[in-house]
Amino acid sequence: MKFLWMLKNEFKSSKLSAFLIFAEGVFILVCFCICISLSVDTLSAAVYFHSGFDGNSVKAAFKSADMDEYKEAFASDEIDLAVYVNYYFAQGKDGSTVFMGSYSESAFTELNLSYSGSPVDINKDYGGAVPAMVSRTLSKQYKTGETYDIGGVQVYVCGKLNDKNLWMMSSEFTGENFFMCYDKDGRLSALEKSAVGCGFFTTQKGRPIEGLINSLNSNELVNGAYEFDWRNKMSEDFDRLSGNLIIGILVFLISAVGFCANNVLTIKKNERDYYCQMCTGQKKSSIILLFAARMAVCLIAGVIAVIIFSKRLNTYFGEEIITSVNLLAASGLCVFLCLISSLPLLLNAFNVEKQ
Amino acid sequence: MIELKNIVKTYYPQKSTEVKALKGVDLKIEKGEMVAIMGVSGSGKSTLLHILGCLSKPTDGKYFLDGEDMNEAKRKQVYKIRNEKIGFIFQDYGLIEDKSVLENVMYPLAFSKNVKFLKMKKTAQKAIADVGISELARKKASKLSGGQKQRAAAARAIVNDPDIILADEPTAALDSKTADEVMALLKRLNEKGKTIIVVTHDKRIADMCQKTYVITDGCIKEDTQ
Ligand SMILES: Nc1ncnc2c1ncn2[C@@H]1O[C@H](COP(=O)(O)OP(=O)(O)O)[C@@H](O)[C@H]1O
Ligand SMILES: [Mg+2]
Repeated sequence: MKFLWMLKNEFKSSKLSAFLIFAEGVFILVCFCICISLSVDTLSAAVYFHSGFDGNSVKAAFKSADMDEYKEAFASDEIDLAVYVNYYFAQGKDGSTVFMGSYSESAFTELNLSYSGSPVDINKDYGGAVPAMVSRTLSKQYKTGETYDIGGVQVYVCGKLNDKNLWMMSSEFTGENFFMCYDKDGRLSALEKSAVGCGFFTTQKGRPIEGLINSLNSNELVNGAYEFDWRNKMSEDFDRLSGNLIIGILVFLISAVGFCANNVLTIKKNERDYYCQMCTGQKKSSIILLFAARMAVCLIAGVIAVIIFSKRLNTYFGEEIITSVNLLAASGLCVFLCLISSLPLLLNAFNVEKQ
Repeated sequence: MIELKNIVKTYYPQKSTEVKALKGVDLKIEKGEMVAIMGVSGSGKSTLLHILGCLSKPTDGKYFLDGEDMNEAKRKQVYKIRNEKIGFIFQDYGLIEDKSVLENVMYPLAFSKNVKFLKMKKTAQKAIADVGISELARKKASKLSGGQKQRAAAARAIVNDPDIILADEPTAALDSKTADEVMALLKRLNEKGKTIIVVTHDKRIADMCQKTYVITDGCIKEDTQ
């Protein structure tokens, strides 16, 4: 109780500073969320492609309109694992164009997809609907667990694809708004109007990619096999992001400097009061504790404010950028930085006993 | 009960800015005495009082408080002594300006184990009544006159019922009438059995005490006139 009473006094004597810490907390948090959210996909994709040479990763791709050509290619020993997609354009819910991709079984069983919701179970009956994973851009309109009529076909949404890798691969052919369908009964292919082209991904474990492409092309199994140029794709992404990232980091740095300055000024302003309190028996550690507690309260209030605000707004920002994991990571980092940046300062701020 | 043996205090030792503030002070003050420590500005009065109040440690020499060697005392114990055994009154009052008199006086209780949270307010109010400013309890310290501030500081000094009150030029910023009132207050506390040590450069104030010590150039001797 005494501690709370002192904490109350601490707030009373530095209202402006407490508000500034709150505002800075919100500010830093938002910047962090934006930075993390914008970069996390690209970074995880980079990790995937860099490390993916040992696992089932997509390394080469080729396009052809001839299904027999694929079958022949996939039968070759050169290839360990093949994934293909057969796609067509359809009218989505709000009249926009979506890509319906009919993926081979291997896409669902062999690739380590990262998703939220459930995976597509290739043995399960989805009440006559075609099971699909939805790309992230479509996940706002098409909810997990619902069935939608897409151009005359019932599509059941099992989950949302999180990872950038398949998404990037697929969007090479299909654009960003796509359904990754498992068309066991061939209902999509039965729509005569449909297929306008095919994209293939071929993957191979632990084999140099140049050799694979060369042999594919020289065997004349397919025409124009090429390495999937993820580096290029990634650098496009980075170009798009780097501007935002730099601004985010700058804003963060500026607010961090402001945060430290605020702390220095508060301590300087209260130095005499701290001295008076020490004379009446307050411990230095308790002053530091009170200071830290005040900061923690302000920052936690900031975190809660951001959560409530973003939930209220119900915007892309609210739902996508501040995902729970990112918010936690950002808050943790934020509090950590704040404490680290203010503790040494506190320790040196007043040396009542040193003299 | 207070015993100083050859206390030396040197600021910035072995540097070009070295200041020898105290050069071997011996002093014995019994329980219940009211003593004045006189000296010109810069003679080391405040330095001595800071050592007596455990706000700083001497460079050399021994300090016994109630027979306990303060040089050996643990940090935690020093906090406790400052809180429970010693009350401070400063020339510039040492109040937290943007807090009320009541809050200022409650502070020492917040650091003490002897008074429960729910008793803090009552205890503080009693101390404020003892120095005769009950009607000012809710006022901010910054809104008080000098004499009122010094009374509030006195209330804060006595709230934990300490044995010793250390007053560093408590009247220097006050007019002579208000100064006399504050001294009368200290005298009353002395009559209740508290040991009072008043630092002053004013002979008139010193004469109100039972004993006077004079510091000149870092050395102390009793003024027996
Ligand atoms: N914290 C300090 N750092 C350095 N020198 C100090 C400090 N406090 C006091 N002094 C020096 O010690 C001497 C005695 O000071 P002080 O005890 O304040 O004298 P008084 O209270 O009698 O005026 C002075 O020369 C002063 O400059
Ligand atoms: Mg002085």
